[in-house]
Amino acid sequence: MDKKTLLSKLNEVVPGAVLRKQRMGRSEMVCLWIETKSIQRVAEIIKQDNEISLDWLENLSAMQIGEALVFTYVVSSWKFGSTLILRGSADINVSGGIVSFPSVTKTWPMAIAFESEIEELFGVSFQDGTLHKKEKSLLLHGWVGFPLRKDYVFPKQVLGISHCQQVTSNV
Amino acid sequence: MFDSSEWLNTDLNTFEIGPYDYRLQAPMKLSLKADGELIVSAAIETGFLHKGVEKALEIQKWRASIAYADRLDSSAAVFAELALCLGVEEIIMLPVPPRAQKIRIILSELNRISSHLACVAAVARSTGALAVMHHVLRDREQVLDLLELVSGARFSPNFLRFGGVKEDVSDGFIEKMIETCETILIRLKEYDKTLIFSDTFIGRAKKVGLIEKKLANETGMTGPNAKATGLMYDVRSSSPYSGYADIDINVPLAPAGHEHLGDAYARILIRIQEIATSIDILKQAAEKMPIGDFCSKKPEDEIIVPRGEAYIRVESSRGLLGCHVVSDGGPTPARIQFRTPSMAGVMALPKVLPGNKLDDLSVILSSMDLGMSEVDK
Repeated sequence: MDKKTLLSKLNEVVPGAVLRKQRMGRSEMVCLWIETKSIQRVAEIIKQDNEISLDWLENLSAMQIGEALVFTYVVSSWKFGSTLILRGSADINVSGGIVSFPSVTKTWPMAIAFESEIEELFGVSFQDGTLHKKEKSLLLHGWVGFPLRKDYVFPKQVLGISHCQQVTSNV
Repeated sequence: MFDSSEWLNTDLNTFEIGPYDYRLQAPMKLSLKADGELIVSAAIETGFLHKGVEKALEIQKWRASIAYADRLDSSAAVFAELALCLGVEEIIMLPVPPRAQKIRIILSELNRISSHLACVAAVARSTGALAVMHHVLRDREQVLDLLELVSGARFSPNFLRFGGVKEDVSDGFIEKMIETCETILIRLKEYDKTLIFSDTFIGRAKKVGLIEKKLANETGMTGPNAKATGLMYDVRSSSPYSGYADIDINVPLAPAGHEHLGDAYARILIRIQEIATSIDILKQAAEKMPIGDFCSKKPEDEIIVPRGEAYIRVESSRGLLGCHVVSDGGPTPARIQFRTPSMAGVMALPKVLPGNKLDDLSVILSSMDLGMSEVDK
């Protein structure tokens, strides 16, 4: 399916969901900015529609731009070999607070691994998904804060162990 | 009358294996429930190798970031370097000379052979074929020697640069590489005799750790593990990068209906075939190696990366390695994220292990070749 038809289909089924269309950097890949509350619906449609069949979530990355977290979904189709980029964003309104964002694990089960990583490193709670794991999987137990946020300050000690080199005057 | 204290306990047994155990290829923690010898459920805990690579990359200047990308997975370091370099080159529209592209292909394929040989050695060890393991590791040394000859390092070469590579290949390198390729081709036939067609090995690997195509699809599995299930995807042929378009690639795939489809045996067969494919690619790259520059700018120069982003795919030894590079125009990267292929294998593991025997655990894990370093980042 060509991009224009895809766009008109999305606008017809979920009006107002597509906020903007752009290219992904200098590549030919099309990037659609999706309204946050419509992410799950759009994901369902592009996976289940036989003419689109974007059934494989190849990658999900998060990044902080200013006071917003931007989520980038790289979605591909085994059937047609096509790729589409979806984007959504959420505000970091509370310093150090958890950000809520819709989960896509019900549509793309492989999202569990990506969402789990983002939950831990960015402080995001993915809502209405199949991810139930709440314990940390990457960081040490007892780690405080979300390292991939831009305002993160490295602690001088972790669990009582200093990781900053002490400079002594008599050396 | 029987005394109840003498009865056999037939409840499920719980085993916690790891994070460090001789059966594991890398640190991870497995919580298994077994009915006698049979695994009935499995859970995996990861994170023991978390190095904060993605955070470290945000703190380094652009040129230094290449050395940090190496640390994503030291046994397949060239692929992360390559993905990062391609991403930055796309943002700044920096051309890469044809000679540098061929050198990159050579490094990638040497790294793929080295990584696959390490996997074959691990499987040989887990099936008790210790002599084969030593032979495979001996052959891998020759490949590592070649990497050392080019870059000065056997692991984590830090050799790629934005716009090309750090240095040209030395005199006699291509000849030495072809000689090693011929040796490895002979060795592959020896592996067939000593390992692949050995009854003991077939008995240990056949129908063990079965991964169905559907599961591979659901978890986003790529690389040799996916090809062993019959799932065809190889970035080198589907969306060629870095000069792969000039090269004929015979991507191995387990045929539908094959008796070993998706099992540990098929995974090793695919890796052996991929080594042969890599040797073919190396020969083609050597033949087509053009004369010219090895970098489009001075490799030691710092670069200015304007605002922009790129998403790059490369075929690493374990599958699709994605790299999302974002620049805000500053001296350091705004964000570099890696999509690592082993993540899918870790996701699939709790569904793969049940139904297998505890004895087969090390065969399954070694045949899946999970790079925990890249999973934990």
